Amino acid sequence: MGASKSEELEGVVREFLEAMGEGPLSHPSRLAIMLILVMRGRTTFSELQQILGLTPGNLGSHLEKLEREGYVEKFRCLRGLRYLTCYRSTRRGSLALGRVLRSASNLWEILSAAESAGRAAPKEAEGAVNRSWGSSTSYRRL
Amino acid sequence: MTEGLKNLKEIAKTLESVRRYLSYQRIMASSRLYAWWSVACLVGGAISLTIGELGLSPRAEGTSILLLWVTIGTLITRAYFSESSRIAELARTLLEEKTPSERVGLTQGLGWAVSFGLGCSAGWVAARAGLRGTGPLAVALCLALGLGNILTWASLKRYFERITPEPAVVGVSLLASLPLILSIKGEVIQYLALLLAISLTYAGASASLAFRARRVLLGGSK
Repeated sequence: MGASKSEELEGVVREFLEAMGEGPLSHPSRLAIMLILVMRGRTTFSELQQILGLTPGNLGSHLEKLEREGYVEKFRCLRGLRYLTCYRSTRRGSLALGRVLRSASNLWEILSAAESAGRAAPKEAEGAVNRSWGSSTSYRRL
Repeated sequence: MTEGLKNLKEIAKTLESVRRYLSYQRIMASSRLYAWWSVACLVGGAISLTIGELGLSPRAEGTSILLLWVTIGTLITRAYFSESSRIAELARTLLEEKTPSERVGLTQGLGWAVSFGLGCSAGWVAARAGLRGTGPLAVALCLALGLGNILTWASLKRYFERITPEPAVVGVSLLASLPLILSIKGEVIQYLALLLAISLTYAGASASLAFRARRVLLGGSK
């Protein structure tokens, strides 16, 4: 039983690290951008800026990175009487976002179960989380 | 709790919010479908009534009314299916849901075809049996829409764990309202009562679903 629990945890941690890797979604702003694009569909640059409260330069560089990775695509769309720059998530981007959210949720379930049972969080799991998201950046506004 | 763990907790909560948002979207799509049909029933009914008063030949009148309803039906059903497939695709990619949406769609389509077949046959039998005025139409529509809604509910119950009861309630209400509609005297009044019964039942279902969707979004029961 103990061995199978540890194997399960190893699997979940591996899944989490694979989903995060050095990938573009390891930054909270990029994760938030993907979440908005996946849920809303096409969104203009200024709408993203308004929702996230990022400066144009900052938002532009995050979008550029996501575009380079093939997670989002940029196109011209007609809004009112004007053509604007719009973005939408690609299938690759949506799948990557789903992987990150699911693996994070699985890992959190294991860690919170350990916490509520009064056990310390397994070190390998906590280490994986801190390596990926331990910086000062916060995800709380998601 | 370390910063990493706090962040992990937020992301895990995000997945739960996504799940709730998709449930909300699913229920709202059904609510919008009922709302559109509720409005279409009144508008289409009024146009049909006007066509009937134009003095066209029975053939031209029948064709115009049929074309009108086929157009309305196609527009509303297409909008609903495009919205439903978008939500199903999101659930597949983000939540790895494995609902066989094609099979669900096919079962529902089949259910509606059978209901309309039965409704039209019952209307024809009612006309042969001597029912006059709007009577045969009321029999056909109440049976078709009533059975169609009940079969939709039954097919959803087969594929999903939690489903909303509104389609079953709409179906039973329409079947139950048939004797009342048939008891009304006067062709135009009977026709208006039929339209009102369908429209109000659908509007009620739409409002109830919208209320349910809001509760899901705010974290209440599904």
